[in-house]
Amino acid sequence: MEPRPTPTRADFNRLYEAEFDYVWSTLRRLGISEANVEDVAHDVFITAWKKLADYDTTRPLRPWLFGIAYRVASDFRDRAWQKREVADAEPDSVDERPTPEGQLQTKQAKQLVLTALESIPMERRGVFVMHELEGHGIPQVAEALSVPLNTAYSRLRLARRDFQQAVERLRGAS
Amino acid sequence: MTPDDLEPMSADLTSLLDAEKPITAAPAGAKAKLLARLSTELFDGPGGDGSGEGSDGGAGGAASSPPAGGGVGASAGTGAVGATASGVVARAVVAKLVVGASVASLAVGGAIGAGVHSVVTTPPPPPIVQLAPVEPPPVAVPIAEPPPVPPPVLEAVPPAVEPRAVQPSASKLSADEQLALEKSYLEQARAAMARKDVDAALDALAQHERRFPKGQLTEERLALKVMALSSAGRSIEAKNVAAEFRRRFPTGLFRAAVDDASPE
Repeated sequence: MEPRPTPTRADFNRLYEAEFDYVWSTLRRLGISEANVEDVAHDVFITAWKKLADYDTTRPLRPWLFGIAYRVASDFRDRAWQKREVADAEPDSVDERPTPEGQLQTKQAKQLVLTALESIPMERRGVFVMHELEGHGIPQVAEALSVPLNTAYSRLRLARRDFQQAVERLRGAS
Repeated sequence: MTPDDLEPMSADLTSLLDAEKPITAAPAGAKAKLLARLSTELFDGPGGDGSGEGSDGGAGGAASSPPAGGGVGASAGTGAVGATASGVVARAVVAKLVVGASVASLAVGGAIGAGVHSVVTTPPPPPIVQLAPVEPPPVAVPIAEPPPVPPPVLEAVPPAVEPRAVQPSASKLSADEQLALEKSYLEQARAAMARKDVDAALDALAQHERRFPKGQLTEERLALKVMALSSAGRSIEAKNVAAEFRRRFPTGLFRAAVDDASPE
Protein backbone atom coordinates (compact mmCIF):
# COMPACT_ATOMS: atom_id res chain seq x y z
CA MET A 1 0.00 0.00 0.00
CA GLU A 2 1.49 3.30 -1.02
CA PRO A 3 1.76 5.91 1.67
CA ARG A 4 -0.71 8.70 1.28
CA PRO A 5 0.68 12.10 0.52
CA THR A 6 0.87 14.26 3.58
CA PRO A 7 -1.93 16.83 3.76
CA THR A 8 -1.06 20.31 2.66
CA ARG A 9 -2.49 23.72 3.20
CA ALA A 10 -4.33 23.34 -0.09
CA ASP A 11 -5.95 20.17 1.23
CA PHE A 12 -7.08 22.02 4.30
CA ASN A 13 -8.44 24.85 2.23
CA ARG A 14 -10.42 22.48 0.06
CA LEU A 15 -11.84 20.77 3.12
CA TYR A 16 -12.77 24.10 4.65
CA GLU A 17 -14.28 25.44 1.48
CA ALA A 18 -16.44 22.38 0.95
CA GLU A 19 -17.49 21.64 4.49
CA PHE A 20 -17.68 24.91 6.37
CA ASP A 21 -21.46 25.18 6.15
CA TYR A 22 -21.83 21.53 7.06
CA VAL A 23 -19.73 21.93 10.19
CA TRP A 24 -21.54 25.10 11.16
CA SER A 25 -24.94 23.52 10.66
CA THR A 26 -23.93 20.36 12.49
CA LEU A 27 -22.73 22.30 15.50
CA ARG A 28 -25.98 24.20 15.67
CA ARG A 29 -27.86 20.90 15.59
CA LEU A 30 -25.64 19.66 18.37
CA GLY A 31 -26.71 22.57 20.51
CA ILE A 32 -23.91 25.06 20.10
CA SER A 33 -25.36 28.55 20.24
CA GLU A 34 -24.82 31.23 17.64
CA ALA A 35 -22.64 33.05 20.13
CA ASN A 36 -20.22 30.15 20.43
CA VAL A 37 -20.44 28.35 17.14
CA GLU A 38 -17.51 30.17 15.56
CA ASP A 39 -15.16 29.23 18.39
CA VAL A 40 -16.30 25.63 18.36
CA ALA A 41 -16.11 25.43 14.56
CA HIS A 42 -12.60 26.78 14.86
CA ASP A 43 -11.67 23.88 17.12
CA VAL A 44 -13.35 21.40 14.81
CA PHE A 45 -11.22 22.52 11.88
CA ILE A 46 -8.08 22.61 13.99
CA THR A 47 -8.76 19.03 15.03
CA ALA A 48 -9.65 18.02 11.49
CA TRP A 49 -6.34 19.41 10.27
CA LYS A 50 -4.46 17.50 12.91
CA LYS A 51 -6.24 14.30 11.99
CA LEU A 52 -6.27 14.83 8.26
CA ALA A 53 -3.23 12.66 7.74
CA ASP A 54 -5.11 9.76 9.30
CA TYR A 55 -8.30 10.23 7.33
CA ASP A 56 -9.05 7.36 4.98
CA THR A 57 -9.85 9.11 1.74
CA THR A 58 -11.74 6.08 0.48
CA ARG A 59 -14.37 6.63 3.15
CA PRO A 60 -17.11 9.26 3.17
CA LEU A 61 -15.89 12.54 4.57
CA ARG A 62 -18.87 13.78 6.48
CA PRO A 63 -19.23 10.93 8.98
CA TRP A 64 -15.58 11.42 9.84
CA LEU A 65 -16.11 15.14 10.20
CA PHE A 66 -19.27 14.62 12.20
CA GLY A 67 -17.36 12.45 14.67
CA ILE A 68 -14.91 15.29 15.21
CA ALA A 69 -17.64 17.90 15.51
CA TYR A 70 -19.54 15.73 17.96
CA ARG A 71 -16.56 15.26 20.26
CA VAL A 72 -15.52 18.89 20.13
CA ALA A 73 -19.08 20.04 20.80
CA SER A 74 -19.44 17.56 23.65
CA ASP A 75 -16.23 18.75 25.26
CA PHE A 76 -17.30 22.33 24.88
CA ARG A 77 -20.66 21.76 26.48
CA ASP A 78 -19.13 19.73 29.30
CA ARG A 79 -16.72 22.50 30.08
CA ALA A 80 -19.36 25.15 29.79
CA TRP A 81 -21.46 23.21 32.23
CA GLN A 82 -18.60 22.73 34.64
CA LYS A 83 -17.83 26.42 34.52
CA ARG A 84 -21.51 27.23 34.82
CA GLU A 85 -21.09 29.28 31.75
CA VAL A 86 -24.43 30.51 30.67
CA ALA A 87 -23.27 31.89 27.39
CA ASP A 88 -24.27 28.73 25.60
CA ALA A 89 -27.43 28.23 27.58
CA GLU A 90 -29.22 31.44 26.96
CA PRO A 91 -31.23 31.81 23.83
CA ASP A 92 -30.93 28.47 22.21
CA SER A 93 -29.32 25.91 24.42
CA VAL A 94 -30.72 23.20 26.63
CA ASP A 95 -33.83 24.61 28.14
CA GLU A 96 -36.53 22.42 29.52
CA ARG A 97 -38.86 25.27 30.27
CA PRO A 98 -41.98 25.51 28.18
CA THR A 99 -41.71 28.00 25.43
CA PRO A 100 -43.90 31.03 26.10
CA GLU A 101 -47.39 30.62 24.81
CA GLY A 102 -47.88 31.71 21.29
CA GLN A 103 -44.19 31.87 20.52
CA LEU A 104 -44.03 28.57 18.70
CA GLN A 105 -46.87 29.55 16.43
CA THR A 106 -44.54 31.89 14.65
CA LYS A 107 -41.62 29.52 14.48
CA GLN A 108 -40.76 27.58 11.43
CA ALA A 109 -40.51 23.83 11.48
CA LYS A 110 -36.73 24.11 11.43
CA GLN A 111 -36.77 26.07 14.62
CA LEU A 112 -39.07 23.57 16.23
CA VAL A 113 -36.71 20.76 15.31
CA LEU A 114 -33.69 22.59 16.68
CA THR A 115 -35.51 23.42 19.86
CA ALA A 116 -36.71 19.86 20.30
CA LEU A 117 -33.19 18.60 19.71
CA GLU A 118 -32.13 20.54 22.76
CA SER A 119 -34.14 18.17 24.88
CA ILE A 120 -32.16 15.16 23.76
CA PRO A 121 -29.09 14.35 25.83
CA MET A 122 -25.91 14.87 23.88
CA GLU A 123 -24.89 11.24 23.49
CA ARG A 124 -28.28 10.39 22.04
CA ARG A 125 -28.48 13.55 20.02
CA GLY A 126 -25.34 12.69 18.08
CA VAL A 127 -26.88 9.41 16.94
CA PHE A 128 -30.22 11.03 16.20
CA VAL A 129 -28.81 13.88 14.15
CA MET A 130 -26.52 11.64 12.15
CA HIS A 131 -29.22 9.10 11.41
CA GLU A 132 -32.44 11.07 11.19
CA LEU A 133 -31.19 14.31 9.70
CA GLU A 134 -28.17 13.21 7.72
CA GLY A 135 -29.42 9.79 6.75
CA HIS A 136 -26.41 7.73 7.74
CA GLY A 137 -26.96 4.10 8.59
CA ILE A 138 -26.62 3.08 12.20
CA PRO A 139 -23.46 1.01 11.60
CA GLN A 140 -21.85 4.10 10.13
CA VAL A 141 -23.10 6.21 13.01
CA ALA A 142 -21.71 3.75 15.52
CA GLU A 143 -18.34 3.82 13.83
CA ALA A 144 -18.20 7.60 13.58
CA LEU A 145 -19.12 8.06 17.21
CA SER A 146 -17.03 5.12 18.39
CA VAL A 147 -19.84 3.33 20.17
CA PRO A 148 -20.97 -0.30 19.94
CA LEU A 149 -23.65 -0.99 17.39
CA ASN A 150 -26.21 -2.02 20.00
CA THR A 151 -25.52 1.15 21.93
CA ALA A 152 -26.14 3.21 18.84
CA TYR A 153 -29.49 1.50 18.26
CA SER A 154 -30.43 1.95 21.87
CA ARG A 155 -29.53 5.62 21.80
CA LEU A 156 -31.51 6.13 18.65
CA ARG A 157 -34.59 4.56 20.21
CA LEU A 158 -34.33 6.74 23.29
CA ALA A 159 -33.57 9.82 21.21
CA ARG A 160 -36.67 9.28 19.11
CA ARG A 161 -38.73 9.09 22.26
CA ASP A 162 -37.06 12.23 23.61
CA PHE A 163 -37.66 14.05 20.36
CA GLN A 164 -41.28 13.05 20.13
CA GLN A 165 -41.96 14.09 23.71
CA ALA A 166 -40.18 17.39 23.15
CA VAL A 167 -42.19 18.15 20.04
CA GLU A 168 -45.42 17.32 21.81
CA ARG A 169 -44.45 19.47 24.75
CA LEU A 170 -43.41 22.37 22.57
CA ARG A 171 -46.57 22.17 20.51
CA GLY A 172 -48.62 21.92 23.65
CA ALA A 173 -46.98 25.00 25.01
CA SER A 174 -47.69 26.98 21.92
CA MET B 1 -31.18 -3.88 20.50
CA THR B 2 -31.59 -4.41 16.81
CA PRO B 3 -33.20 -2.54 13.96
CA ASP B 4 -36.27 -4.71 14.44
CA ASP B 5 -36.77 -3.32 17.91
CA LEU B 6 -37.00 0.19 16.59
CA GLU B 7 -40.40 1.62 16.13
CA PRO B 8 -40.64 3.82 13.07
CA MET B 9 -41.12 7.50 13.61
CA SER B 10 -44.52 8.90 12.88
CA ALA B 11 -45.12 10.52 9.52
CA ASP B 12 -45.68 13.79 11.33
CA LEU B 13 -42.27 13.74 12.96
CA THR B 14 -40.59 12.51 9.82
CA SER B 15 -42.12 15.38 7.93
CA LEU B 16 -41.00 17.79 10.60
CA LEU B 17 -37.44 16.52 10.40
CA ASP B 18 -37.45 16.93 6.65
CA ALA B 19 -37.56 20.66 7.16
CA GLU B 20 -34.22 20.63 8.93
CA LYS B 21 -32.45 18.18 6.66
CA PRO B 22 -30.94 20.66 4.20
CA ILE B 23 -27.70 22.19 5.42
CA THR B 24 -28.30 25.70 6.65
CA ALA B 25 -25.73 28.18 5.41
CA ALA B 26 -23.73 30.03 8.03
CA PRO B 27 -24.19 33.80 8.37
CA ALA B 28 -22.57 35.93 5.70
CA GLY B 29 -18.97 36.71 6.43
CA ALA B 30 -18.54 33.95 8.99
CA LYS B 31 -16.73 31.69 6.58
CA ALA B 32 -14.08 34.19 5.53
CA LYS B 33 -13.63 35.43 9.07
CA LEU B 34 -12.96 32.00 10.51
CA LEU B 35 -10.67 31.08 7.63
CA ALA B 36 -8.56 34.15 8.32
CA ARG B 37 -8.30 33.11 11.94
CA LEU B 38 -7.44 29.51 11.14
CA SER B 39 -4.89 30.48 8.52
CA THR B 40 -3.11 32.68 11.01
CA GLU B 41 -2.95 29.97 13.61
CA LEU B 42 -2.21 27.02 11.39
CA PHE B 43 -0.04 28.39 8.66
CA ASP B 44 0.98 32.00 8.84
CA GLY B 45 1.23 33.07 12.42
CA PRO B 46 4.14 32.67 14.82
CA GLY B 47 4.57 28.99 15.40
CA GLY B 48 1.98 28.47 12.75
CA ASP B 49 2.93 25.01 11.91
CA GLY B 50 -0.16 22.98 11.90
CA SER B 51 0.37 21.78 15.40
CA GLY B 52 -2.25 24.03 16.83
CA GLU B 53 -4.83 23.32 19.40
CA GLY B 54 -7.93 25.30 20.08
CA SER B 55 -7.76 28.83 21.32
CA ASP B 56 -8.40 29.83 24.86
CA GLY B 57 -11.79 28.91 26.01
CA GLY B 58 -12.34 26.93 22.91
CA ALA B 59 -13.54 23.46 22.82
CA GLY B 60 -10.17 21.89 22.39
CA GLY B 61 -10.32 19.11 19.93
CA ALA B 62 -9.50 15.55 20.55
CA ALA B 63 -5.86 14.95 21.11
CA SER B 64 -4.06 14.07 18.00
CA SER B 65 -0.75 14.41 16.37
CA PRO B 66 -0.38 17.12 13.81
CA PRO B 67 0.24 16.12 10.27
CA ALA B 68 3.72 14.93 9.65
CA GLY B 69 6.40 17.47 9.09
CA GLY B 70 6.33 16.81 5.43
CA GLY B 71 2.88 18.19 5.21
CA VAL B 72 3.88 21.31 6.93
CA GLY B 73 6.94 21.38 4.85
CA ALA B 74 4.71 21.39 1.87
CA SER B 75 3.05 24.42 3.29
CA ALA B 76 6.41 25.92 3.91
CA GLY B 77 7.46 25.25 0.42
CA THR B 78 4.66 27.35 -0.78
CA GLY B 79 4.70 29.40 2.34
CA ALA B 80 6.96 32.00 0.88
CA VAL B 81 4.03 32.98 -1.11
CA GLY B 82 1.34 31.74 1.12
CA ALA B 83 2.54 34.69 3.01
CA THR B 84 1.23 36.97 0.38
CA ALA B 85 -2.09 35.26 0.41
CA SER B 86 -2.43 35.87 4.12
CA GLY B 87 -5.11 33.28 4.37
CA VAL B 88 -7.91 35.58 3.47
CA VAL B 89 -9.74 32.96 1.52
CA ALA B 90 -9.02 29.42 0.61
CA ARG B 91 -9.58 29.66 -3.09
CA ALA B 92 -7.39 32.67 -3.30
CA VAL B 93 -4.67 31.17 -1.20
CA VAL B 94 -4.21 28.17 -3.39
CA ALA B 95 -3.99 30.22 -6.53
CA LYS B 96 -1.85 32.82 -4.88
CA LEU B 97 0.71 30.26 -3.95
CA VAL B 98 1.35 29.82 -7.61
CA VAL B 99 1.09 33.44 -8.59
CA GLY B 100 3.39 34.70 -5.92
CA ALA B 101 6.05 32.13 -6.45
CA SER B 102 7.90 34.32 -8.82
CA VAL B 103 8.20 37.18 -6.44
CA ALA B 104 8.67 35.61 -3.07
CA SER B 105 12.28 35.08 -2.31
CA LEU B 106 13.99 33.02 0.29
CA ALA B 107 14.13 36.08 2.44
CA VAL B 108 10.42 36.39 2.50
CA GLY B 109 9.68 32.74 2.67
CA GLY B 110 12.24 32.13 5.33
CA ALA B 111 11.01 34.85 7.55
CA ILE B 112 7.42 33.94 7.11
CA GLY B 113 8.04 30.28 7.38
CA ALA B 114 10.04 30.57 10.56
CA GLY B 115 7.63 28.59 12.63
CA VAL B 116 7.09 26.18 9.81
CA HIS B 117 10.74 25.49 9.39
CA SER B 118 11.09 24.63 13.02
CA VAL B 119 8.51 21.94 12.60
CA VAL B 120 10.15 20.47 9.59
CA THR B 121 13.42 20.11 11.38
CA THR B 122 12.21 19.15 14.82
CA PRO B 123 9.82 16.60 16.26
CA PRO B 124 6.16 17.58 16.25
CA PRO B 125 5.52 20.09 19.01
CA PRO B 126 2.76 19.68 21.55
CA PRO B 127 -0.66 20.47 20.17
CA ILE B 128 -0.90 24.03 21.31
CA VAL B 129 -1.37 26.98 19.05
CA GLN B 130 1.13 29.67 19.71
CA LEU B 131 -1.02 32.70 19.97
CA ALA B 132 1.52 34.72 21.88
CA PRO B 133 4.65 36.04 20.25
CA VAL B 134 7.43 33.53 20.25
CA GLU B 135 11.08 33.71 19.52
CA PRO B 136 11.87 32.53 16.06
CA PRO B 137 14.35 29.77 15.51
CA PRO B 138 17.78 30.90 14.39
CA VAL B 139 16.98 29.93 10.86
CA ALA B 140 14.12 32.35 10.70
CA VAL B 141 16.08 35.06 8.91
CA PRO B 142 18.00 33.54 6.08
CA ILE B 143 19.12 36.86 4.69
CA ALA B 144 22.85 37.06 4.32
CA GLU B 145 23.20 40.71 5.20
CA PRO B 146 21.61 42.29 8.23
CA PRO B 147 18.14 42.75 6.89
CA PRO B 148 16.66 46.19 6.78
CA VAL B 149 13.36 44.46 7.27
CA PRO B 150 12.58 42.97 10.66
CA PRO B 151 11.24 39.43 10.67
CA PRO B 152 7.58 39.79 9.85
CA VAL B 153 6.64 36.70 11.78
CA LEU B 154 7.64 38.26 15.04
CA GLU B 155 5.51 41.24 14.38
CA ALA B 156 2.41 39.48 13.28
CA VAL B 157 0.90 39.15 16.70
CA PRO B 158 1.83 42.02 19.05
CA PRO B 159 -1.30 43.60 20.39
CA ALA B 160 -0.30 47.07 19.40
CA VAL B 161 0.50 47.94 15.86
CA GLU B 162 3.70 49.82 16.19
CA PRO B 163 5.87 51.02 13.39
CA ARG B 164 9.16 49.28 13.10
CA ALA B 165 12.30 50.63 14.61
CA VAL B 166 13.89 50.63 11.22
CA GLN B 167 11.77 51.84 8.41
CA PRO B 168 13.75 52.26 5.27
CA SER B 169 11.90 54.15 2.65
CA ALA B 170 9.97 51.98 0.31
CA SER B 171 11.89 53.25 -2.65
CA LYS B 172 15.18 51.96 -1.27
CA LEU B 173 13.92 48.47 -0.65
CA SER B 174 14.45 45.61 -3.00
CA ALA B 175 11.33 43.99 -4.35
CA ASP B 176 11.77 41.12 -1.95
CA GLU B 177 12.31 43.35 1.03
CA GLN B 178 9.33 45.43 0.13
CA LEU B 179 7.20 42.36 -0.18
CA ALA B 180 8.33 41.17 3.22
CA LEU B 181 7.54 44.52 4.77
CA GLU B 182 4.19 44.71 3.06
CA LYS B 183 3.44 41.26 4.25
CA SER B 184 4.29 42.16 7.82
CA TYR B 185 1.66 44.89 7.81
CA LEU B 186 -0.96 42.52 6.53
CA GLU B 187 0.10 39.92 9.05
CA GLN B 188 -0.45 42.47 11.77
CA ALA B 189 -3.87 43.19 10.39
CA ARG B 190 -4.81 39.55 10.22
CA ALA B 191 -3.51 38.86 13.71
CA ALA B 192 -5.52 41.80 14.99
CA MET B 193 -8.61 40.48 13.26
CA ALA B 194 -8.02 37.07 14.76
CA ARG B 195 -8.20 38.62 18.20
CA LYS B 196 -11.18 40.70 17.07
CA ASP B 197 -9.32 43.97 17.37
CA VAL B 198 -10.72 45.62 14.29
CA ASP B 199 -9.27 49.03 15.06
CA ALA B 200 -5.76 47.62 15.21
CA ALA B 201 -6.38 45.74 11.99
CA LEU B 202 -7.55 48.86 10.20
CA ASP B 203 -4.62 50.78 11.60
CA ALA B 204 -2.17 48.24 10.20
CA LEU B 205 -3.93 48.33 6.85
CA ALA B 206 -3.81 52.12 6.84
CA GLN B 207 -0.08 51.98 7.50
CA HIS B 208 0.34 49.64 4.61
CA GLU B 209 -1.65 51.94 2.38
CA ARG B 210 0.40 54.95 3.38
CA ARG B 211 3.72 53.25 2.78
CA PHE B 212 2.74 51.21 -0.22
CA PRO B 213 -0.15 52.89 -1.99
CA LYS B 214 0.67 50.85 -5.07
CA GLY B 215 2.17 47.92 -3.26
CA GLN B 216 2.32 44.35 -4.41
CA LEU B 217 -0.27 43.34 -1.84
CA THR B 218 -2.80 46.03 -2.55
CA GLU B 219 -5.39 43.49 -3.52
CA GLU B 220 -4.97 41.64 -0.25
CA ARG B 221 -5.07 44.88 1.68
CA LEU B 222 -8.36 45.90 0.17
CA ALA B 223 -9.84 42.47 0.78
CA LEU B 224 -8.77 42.51 4.41
CA LYS B 225 -10.15 45.99 4.82
CA VAL B 226 -13.52 44.88 3.52
CA MET B 227 -13.52 41.99 5.97
CA ALA B 228 -12.44 44.17 8.87
CA LEU B 229 -15.04 46.81 8.18
CA SER B 230 -17.72 44.23 7.64
CA SER B 231 -16.93 42.42 10.87
CA ALA B 232 -17.10 45.75 12.68
CA GLY B 233 -20.57 46.34 11.33
CA ARG B 234 -19.39 49.27 9.23
CA SER B 235 -21.26 47.96 6.26
CA ILE B 236 -21.40 51.16 4.24
CA GLU B 237 -17.65 51.64 4.42
CA ALA B 238 -17.17 47.97 3.68
CA LYS B 239 -19.39 48.32 0.66
CA ASN B 240 -17.39 51.28 -0.61
CA VAL B 241 -14.10 49.49 -0.23
CA ALA B 242 -15.58 46.39 -1.79
CA ALA B 243 -16.65 48.48 -4.77
CA GLU B 244 -13.12 49.83 -5.07
CA PHE B 245 -11.79 46.30 -4.92
CA ARG B 246 -14.12 45.11 -7.65
CA ARG B 247 -13.25 48.07 -9.81
CA ARG B 248 -9.51 47.58 -9.45
CA PHE B 249 -9.45 43.80 -9.27
CA PRO B 250 -12.57 42.59 -11.04
CA THR B 251 -11.18 39.09 -11.38
CA GLY B 252 -9.00 39.22 -8.31
CA LEU B 253 -8.13 36.15 -6.37
CA PHE B 254 -9.82 37.57 -3.32
CA ARG B 255 -13.01 38.44 -5.12
CA ALA B 256 -14.91 35.59 -3.50
CA ALA B 257 -13.82 36.66 -0.04
CA VAL B 258 -14.83 40.23 -0.74
CA ASP B 259 -18.19 39.17 -2.11
CA ASP B 260 -18.70 36.98 0.91
CA ALA B 261 -17.89 39.76 3.37
CA SER B 262 -19.75 42.47 1.49
CA PRO B 263 -22.15 41.18 -1.14
CA GLU B 264 -22.84 43.39 -4.10
